[in-house]
Amino acid sequence: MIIRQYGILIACALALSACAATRSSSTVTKPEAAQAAVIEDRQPTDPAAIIITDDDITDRPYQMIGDVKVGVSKTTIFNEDPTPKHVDDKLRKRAAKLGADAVVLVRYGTVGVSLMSWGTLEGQGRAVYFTD
Amino acid sequence: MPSISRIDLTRFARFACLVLVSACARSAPDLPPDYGSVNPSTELTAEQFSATDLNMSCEGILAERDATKLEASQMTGAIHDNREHNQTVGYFGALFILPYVATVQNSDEKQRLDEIQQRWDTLAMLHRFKTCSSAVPQ
Repeated sequence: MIIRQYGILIACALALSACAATRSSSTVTKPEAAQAAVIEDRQPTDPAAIIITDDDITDRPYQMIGDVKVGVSKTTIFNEDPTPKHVDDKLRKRAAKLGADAVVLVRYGTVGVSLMSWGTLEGQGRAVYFTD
Repeated sequence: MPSISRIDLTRFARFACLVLVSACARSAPDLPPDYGSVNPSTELTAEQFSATDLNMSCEGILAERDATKLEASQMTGAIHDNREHNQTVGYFGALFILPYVATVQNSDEKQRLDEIQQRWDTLAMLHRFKTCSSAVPQ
C-alpha cells in the first residue's frame, strides 16, 4: 500500500516534469490618461531589437509607455529555476506588444517559492520609446 | 520506506508551511516615478538629494554603482546557494521530517538587495539630474 502510494507520487512527478519547464505572467501599468492617448497608437516592435537595461538611458530622449512587471515560474519542483534571462525575454515580448524601443530601470526579485510555484522569479522595468 | 502516520502527516504539513514561508520569492522592487520621459510625471529637483550626493561627480556616481553591483551579485549568489540547500532539505523533509532550523532564510541578504536597489535608483536620478552622459547599451 505504502509502496503503491510512493509509486503513484513519483509517477505523477515524472509526468508533470515532461510539461513545459516554465510558465509566465505579466502586467502593465500605464501612465496618466493625458499621455496614454498618445501611446495607444504605437505599433508593435521587434522583440529582438528591444534594449534591456537596469540603468536609465540619458543620451536619447524617450517617452514612457508603461511599467511592465513579469513573473516566470517553473512548473514542477524538478525543473531548473528561472533566471534573469528568462525574465528579460518575457519583458522583451511584453514591451514589443506595446511598441517599445527599450525597457529601462529593470530590476529583479530573487527566486523562491510562490503561491503557485516552487520557483518564481519576478522582474519589472519601464517600457519606453525613443522620440528622436 | 518509513510508514506514514497521521501524526507524521501533521508534522510534515507544519514543516512544509514553515519552509514555504522562509523560502518565499522576493518581489522585484518598485520602480521610481517617471522622471526620464520628455513629458515626465515627476521633475527632479535638488531637494530630492543629499548634499553629499549633489557633490558627486559623474565618474563617482558610476563608480559607486559598479561597487554596489558587485555586492548585489554576491548577495544573489548567497541566496541562490542557500536555495539549493533549502530545496534539498525540502526533498528529504518529505521523507524524514528534518527540523525547520535546517533551512536558511536569507532575510538579511534580501533586505540588503532592496537597499542596494533603492541606492541605484537614487544614483540613476542623480545621474540624470547632473546631465551625465551614458552610452546607450547594445
